Formats: sequence, C-alpha cells, structure tokens
Amino acid sequence: MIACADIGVSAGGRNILSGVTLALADGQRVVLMGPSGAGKTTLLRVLAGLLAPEEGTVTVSGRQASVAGRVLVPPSQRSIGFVFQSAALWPHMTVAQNVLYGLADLPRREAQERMRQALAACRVEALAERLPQQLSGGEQRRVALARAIAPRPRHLFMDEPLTSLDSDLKGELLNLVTGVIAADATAVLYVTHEEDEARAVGGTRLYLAGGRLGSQT
Amino acid sequence: MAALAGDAWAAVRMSPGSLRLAVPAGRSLTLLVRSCTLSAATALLCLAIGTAAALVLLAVPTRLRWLRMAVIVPVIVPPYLHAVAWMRTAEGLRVLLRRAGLALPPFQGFGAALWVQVMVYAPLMASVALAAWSMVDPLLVDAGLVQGSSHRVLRRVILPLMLPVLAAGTLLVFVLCMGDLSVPSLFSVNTYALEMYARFSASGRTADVTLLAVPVVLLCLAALTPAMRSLATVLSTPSAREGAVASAWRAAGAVRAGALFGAVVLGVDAAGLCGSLLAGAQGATWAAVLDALPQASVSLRTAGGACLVSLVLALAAGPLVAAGNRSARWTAAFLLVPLALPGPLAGTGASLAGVLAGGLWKTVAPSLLLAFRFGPFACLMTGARLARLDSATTEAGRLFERRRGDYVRRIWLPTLGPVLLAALLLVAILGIGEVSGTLLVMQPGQQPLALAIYNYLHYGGSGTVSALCLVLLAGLLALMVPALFLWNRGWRRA
Repeated sequence: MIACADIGVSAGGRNILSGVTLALADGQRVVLMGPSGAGKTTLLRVLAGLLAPEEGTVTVSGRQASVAGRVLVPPSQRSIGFVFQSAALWPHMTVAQNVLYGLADLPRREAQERMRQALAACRVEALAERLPQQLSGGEQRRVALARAIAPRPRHLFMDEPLTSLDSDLKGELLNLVTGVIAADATAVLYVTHEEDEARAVGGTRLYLAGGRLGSQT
Repeated sequence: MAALAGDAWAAVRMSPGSLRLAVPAGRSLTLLVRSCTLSAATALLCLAIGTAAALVLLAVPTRLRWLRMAVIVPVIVPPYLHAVAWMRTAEGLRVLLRRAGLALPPFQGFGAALWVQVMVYAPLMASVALAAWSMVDPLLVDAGLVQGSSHRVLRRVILPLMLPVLAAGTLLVFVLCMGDLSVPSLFSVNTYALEMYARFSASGRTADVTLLAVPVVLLCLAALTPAMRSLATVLSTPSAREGAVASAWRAAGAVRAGALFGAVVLGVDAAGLCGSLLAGAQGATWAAVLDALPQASVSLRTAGGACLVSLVLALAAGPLVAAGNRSARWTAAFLLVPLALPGPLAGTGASLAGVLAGGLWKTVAPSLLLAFRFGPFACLMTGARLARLDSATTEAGRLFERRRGDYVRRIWLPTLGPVLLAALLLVAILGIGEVSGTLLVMQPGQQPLALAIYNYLHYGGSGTVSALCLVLLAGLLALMVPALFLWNRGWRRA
C-alpha cells in the first residue's frame, strides 16, 4: 500500500497541492481526474519520491517514505512502475535495453525472460533491437508500458499515458492498458482528464482541482 | 590563410626538401608528443573536474545560483592571468613551508604548466557540462530514478546522454591547449606552438612556420570535426535553462564526494585568482595603472575593430549555418579551420599578409586577426539562433509588414539582436585576452594591455603586473555580465 497524508506543495507562491490525502491499497485501481494544471502530475511525483512534499508524509507499505522537505525512501525502492506523459524512453538504448534497465537485480536469464514477457504483453516483441527514435508514437507508448510493468511493481502510476494520440490509436492502446492492468494484481493510479479512459480503467474515481482532492460527483 | 598557403607552396617549389618540416621527426616529434601529452592530460583532467563540479553546481538552491557564475566566470580569464595567480600562490606556499622547515620545489616545468592549464580550462568544461546537463530531458532522468539507484542513473542514463557534448568540450580544450603558447612558455615547457613562434622570431621565414604547423592543424581538425555538431549545440544553448533543475536526481556517496572535490578545486582557483592578484596589487601605485591607459585603449580599439568585422561575418555566415543543408555543412566546416589554427600560425599569416599588402593593412591586421580567430564563434552562435527561429513567427512578420523595413526592425533585429550582441561581446572578451597571435602582428608603440602584461611576466611578477591584471579582469567582467544577460534574454525570446 502506498499512501500520503496532508500533502502540501507550492511553487512561485501558488499552492499546487494542499492537504491532499490519498491511499492506494494493493490491487486497487484509482483514476485521478482534474483539469490541466490541477496538480495531478505533481501528486504522482510526490508519491513516487521524485519530489519531496513541503508538508505531509508519504508511506509505502507502512514505512515512512517521504516527510516534509525530505525523501527518505528513494523512488527505485518503492516498487513503482511509472508511465510518463511522454514515453520518456532513453534514446541511446534499444527497446530491449530500455526494458532491461529496471531488471538489473535479477539473474541475467530471468531478466531476459521477463523482458520478453513484458514486450510480448505489449505486443512489441519484434521491436526489441530497435532504438526509440525508430519507433512510431504508438509503439513508443507500448514500450514505455512494457518498461513499467517488466519489474512487476506493486504500484503502477500512469500519467496521462494516451495523451496526444489519435482516436484510433488511443482506443487500441486503451484496450492494451486495461488488458495489462486486468492481468496483474498491481495497484494502479491512473491520471487522465478523459472520461472514456476513466470509464475503461474503472475503480475509484478521484477529482483534483485547485490543489485539493475530492470524490467526483 | 591564402597568404600562408601561397608562401608555403612557393617555398616547397623552390626547395622540395623543406616539405620535411611538415613531417615531425627528431626534436619536432618530441615537441609534438609533449604538446599532445600536455593537451590530452589537460583535457581529460578538465573533463573530470569540470563534470564533477557541474554536478554540485546543478544541485545548488535557487538563492545560491550566483555560485555557478562565480565558479564559471574564470572562463573569460586569459591563461597567463591564471599563471600569474598560481605563480604567486605557489611562491606564498613555498615561503610558508620554508618557515616550517619544509622545502617545496620551484613551481616550474611540465607539472606546473599542466596544473595551471587545468585551472584555465576546468571552468570551461564545467560550463560545457552544465550546458550538456541542460540538454538532458529531466523526464528521462526521472524515468531512470524510478527503476534504479542514483549511481546507476548517472552511469546508464545521464552520462551517456551528456557524452556527445562532453566529448566535444574535451576535444575543444585539447585544441585550445595545442594552440596556446603562453602558459607553457611561462613555465619553461617547450611545446610545438612555442617552437613555431620561436622559429618565426629567429628566422622570419613564414613558410617554415606554415609547414611546421601542418601536423598540429591536421590533429586539431581531426579533433574538431566530430565535435562540430555538439559544439554548435553547446553554443546554441542558453546558459541558465531552468529545465535542468526539474529532475529529482542528486549525486550520492562517492559521486557526491568526487563532485564536491571538483567544485572545491574550481572555487580555490577562482578565490586564488582574485586573492593573489589583489594581494599582489597592493604594492602598485595608481600612477602605474594610469600609465596603462594607452595600452587599454589599444586593446579596446583592436577588439572593437574585431567586433565590427565579426558582425559582418556573422550576418553573412549565420544564415548559411542556419540553412541546415549542404551549404550549412560546408560553412560550418570552413569555420572550423580558424579554430584549428594555432595562435602563432594565425599571427604569422596576418603578419605575412601585412608584408604583402603593406600600408593600411598593418594598422588593421590585429583586428582582422582577432576576427579571423574568434569570429567563427559569432557566426556559429548567430547561425544556431537563426536555426531556432520559429518559421511561423518570421512568416507572420513578413505577412503583416505594412511599412518597408518593419519586419527587420521590429521582428528580426529584436529576436536576433541580443544573441548577436552577446556573440560580439564574446569576440571582444576573447580578443582582449589574446596574446599568441597578436604577439606577431602588433606594431611598435601599439601594445595592447594583454601583451604588456605578458611581456612584463617574462621579467618577473610585480605589483604593477597584478594591478594591470586586475584592470584587465575588471574590463573582461564588465563585458561578460552584459553578454550573459543578452544571451539569456535572446533565448527567452526564442
């Protein structure tokens, strides 16, 4: 379980997050909605340990992971998979190397096997030796998803993973994402401002506006 | 260049045996190996120290951002000023240790020259590393952090992404060291660049210098060619992009210790530079400083002339560089040549052209020489800025132009102007500090400040030298501050 309590973050004199409390239980699905600039990405970054909150705490499996102004547990030790808004693939690594990066602590053979499974699940196994710049936008998103799920994280954060894709591709990838989520018992925190994506992912729906969190009515 | 080539060709036709000068052997081979060793060692040490220091500077909080500038400003300080500062510091240390009964060897030779050269170019490498970092997408770093430790992210993500720019910076430092004679000469290290200057001074035969320079020019061209694209990217990067601080990555453990060491070395250099010059200048009188005003005036006049020529060059070559086609590649390749030419060879060429053309040329030769050596930077910066101009903006400017000249006056100039001015200030900064080439072309009684300091240094340091160094430093700083301001302003309008 990953949870945060009374999180406050500000920038340039403006409150981005204020008193945000959220818990993501194992296997739970939460869809975080809200308008652009509402602080959705900031909240994900705080939970992932990429940003220290100015107020409040973050706990991972009951252990304090972030307190005000400090990250106590680094992101790589929080068992998190993260799909960023842009694919954020490392351009100097092949698709296979991108996915293998997060499997470094496994024996070589097992890591290779996991990499193949993740690529197959995202239907990009044929692209393993390509560089990211040789892939289309949709293929890059698939690889980003494969990279996130390959280490089998307990929490999967998806930050508007289908943004700026055309509607056909979006529909196809949404099917893939929901299929991958359904196949795993991973807890999912899915950020979007698209109603159809929220409906497809399912689970609890939360709404973030003006830096404050509430249930959507 | 044409004068040098023609002269060398004539010499070879008259005496084909002189071609042997272009093939290093015996003494010249020893000097070439020494120059390469000194330059390569300097470049690699600068890479390590500069990159390490940049890792610390990246992490400084916003309120301490001025620290970055304080550490990087020595980039504009000419090598011989660093040499003066370190000579004084080493002498002070020797006196202190002698009192404690310990003897320190004299601060001379290869080791001393290497140390000072590293201090000269490490701030440049730190700037390059900061520029390289600012080009790394913070999201790629964060993506690495989610799945790997800070060390792993540095090794597998950050350094590989910074590598092209870091390599370009290292190669540039190598080339700059190969062409500089000031530091090696002050520490009694015979190098290839010094040999070229000595040969010209002794014989006056320009063809010999040209032929002698062939291996160095080829080496420098070979080093600069792969670095060209990255060099243009570095030059086209604003010095204070904010994206760089967005990533959560921080150095940890041994990396943090190494980074701190690098930052301390740069800090010591900056503090030592100012401290030793200030302490040394206490023995100087205002009269001595005022006596240097004519020399300062020559410096400003020469640099001003170089700026004017560079402006014409930048306006002519900038659009060609920006075109992004074959002509852009050829223009960029052509601009590489002056950068690859050692200072003494460029000076010899200007001097030879003066002999051939005579009259007015001798008066303008120093400015033309500086424009030849540093104008390519202005061309590359202008080209890089033009290449990033939003085509929609420029097309809209032309479309809505109601009065002739409005587009140039109200769109083109305000967009390009700050970067162009910053580029010209850079030419002025480099030109005012230059000695390797101007040493050979300045007319008697027309000595610039840098040359006066350099000449004084050979007669031993004094309070006057320190005071003159401070005057030069203040002048360079006065040019650098508006240059940085304009550079960033120019890019904010991008």
